[in-house]
Amino acid sequence: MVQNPRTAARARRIQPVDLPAPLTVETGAGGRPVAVTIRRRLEVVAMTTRWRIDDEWWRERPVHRDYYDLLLEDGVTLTVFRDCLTQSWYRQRYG
Amino acid sequence: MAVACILIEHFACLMERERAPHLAGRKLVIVSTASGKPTVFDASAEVTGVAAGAPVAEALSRHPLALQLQADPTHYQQGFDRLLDALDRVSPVVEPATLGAAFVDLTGLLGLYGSRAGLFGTLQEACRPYNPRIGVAPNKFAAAVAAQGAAPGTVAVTPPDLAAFLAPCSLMVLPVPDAVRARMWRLGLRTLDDVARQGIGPLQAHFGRTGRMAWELAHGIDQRLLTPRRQQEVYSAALTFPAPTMTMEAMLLGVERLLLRLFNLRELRGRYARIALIGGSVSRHPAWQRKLAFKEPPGSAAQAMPAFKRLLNLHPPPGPLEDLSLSLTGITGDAGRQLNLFDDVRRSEQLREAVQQLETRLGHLPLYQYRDAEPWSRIPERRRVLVEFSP
Repeated sequence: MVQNPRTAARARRIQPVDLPAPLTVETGAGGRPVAVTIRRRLEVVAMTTRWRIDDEWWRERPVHRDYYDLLLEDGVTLTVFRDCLTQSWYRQRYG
Repeated sequence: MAVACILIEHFACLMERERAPHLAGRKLVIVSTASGKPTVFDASAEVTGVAAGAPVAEALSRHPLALQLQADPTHYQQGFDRLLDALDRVSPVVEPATLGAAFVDLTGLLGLYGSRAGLFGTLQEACRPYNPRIGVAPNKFAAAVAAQGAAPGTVAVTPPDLAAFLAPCSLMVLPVPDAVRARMWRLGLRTLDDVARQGIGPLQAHFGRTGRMAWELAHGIDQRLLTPRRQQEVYSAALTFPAPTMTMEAMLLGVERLLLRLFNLRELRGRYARIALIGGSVSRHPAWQRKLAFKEPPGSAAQAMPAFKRLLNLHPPPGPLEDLSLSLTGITGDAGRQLNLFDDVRRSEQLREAVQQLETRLGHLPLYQYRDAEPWSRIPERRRVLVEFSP
């Protein structure tokens, strides 16, 4: 016999992780990132790779992003993307 | 850095043939029943098309004349340890991989052995009587691939252009989970060249960290360091019974004698042992061995005996014991008390109470745990979520 816990039934709360964080990015020719601001302005030394994600086009808000792996002047590698629908820039973290 | 990969295939079969030379030339299937149902532990080279882990029935349907042997992992591990000891005398850094495979760091050894031929000859000599495939490369992955391509008893050295060397290799050589390999295959990636020609970004977007690693390995980049096996102080003693015995009294007497002998050693005076390995030869059975981790490290035979009594009552040898060996490891100067691992019932109750108090005080539960949501998703933030923790 399972005892009645006498508490209201509820679903467990869920929180997203690795959410993209808005980022200030300066762009140059062809819309390529040339500098980002993370506390201070950092020049982009090299763009190691870029790729595109087009997904969930069947939804009301599709995902259409241009990703860039950037090497910054302080030696840090950063993954950023431009949301092609809103033209905003975001920093992408991987868990 | 230069790394050698030593690869001795069908090591368990070689050990069986070393123990029983009349098995030479016969098809062997070594059977393990550790997982409940009989599976192939190892099969000799003549037993083609049978992989380790396959059901024994499948192996025997393909090779009905193959001889079945019961696996004796203790014996194989002892043989492998002897091989590693021999390699330790060649290089200070030796990392065991799987049974019959090991990585050896060759950095700086050229001066010691005079020439490459001298160094490779010493390596081969250390592996005698086996005929290992040896691959030499700047990193572990390339060395393992080179070893797989080398003929038995030879050394294959990778060319300077690692990416070109690895390009024609099959996707199967990549050390990635089977599910990832299957997805790569479905995407049309067949060789390491196919993987290398993809951008690192798309591979990372599809497969996460594993994708990045696959891309790097396909380009010959492998920054994994060698992890040398830990050298432990081991003190061993052994005795042979006048006649095979199954009585508990005789076995306990043998254990006590061995413990007294070991704890009387000058090196063990005033010291304690955390782990004991007890084993012996059993008539018409594979060798018997048990590991005993002491909750409180004993410093004398009298302190250690109760644990051995419990062990032998719970896990007696499967047949008459012919001899007995005892090794003490994990030697320490402290008689520290180890906490009980299995009081988690009480702990989970305490945890539940603590969580309820926290929820009452704060009005909500601030504890979460990571869970896979859509691990296959190309959108990174969809792959995992934090779910409210409920103990």
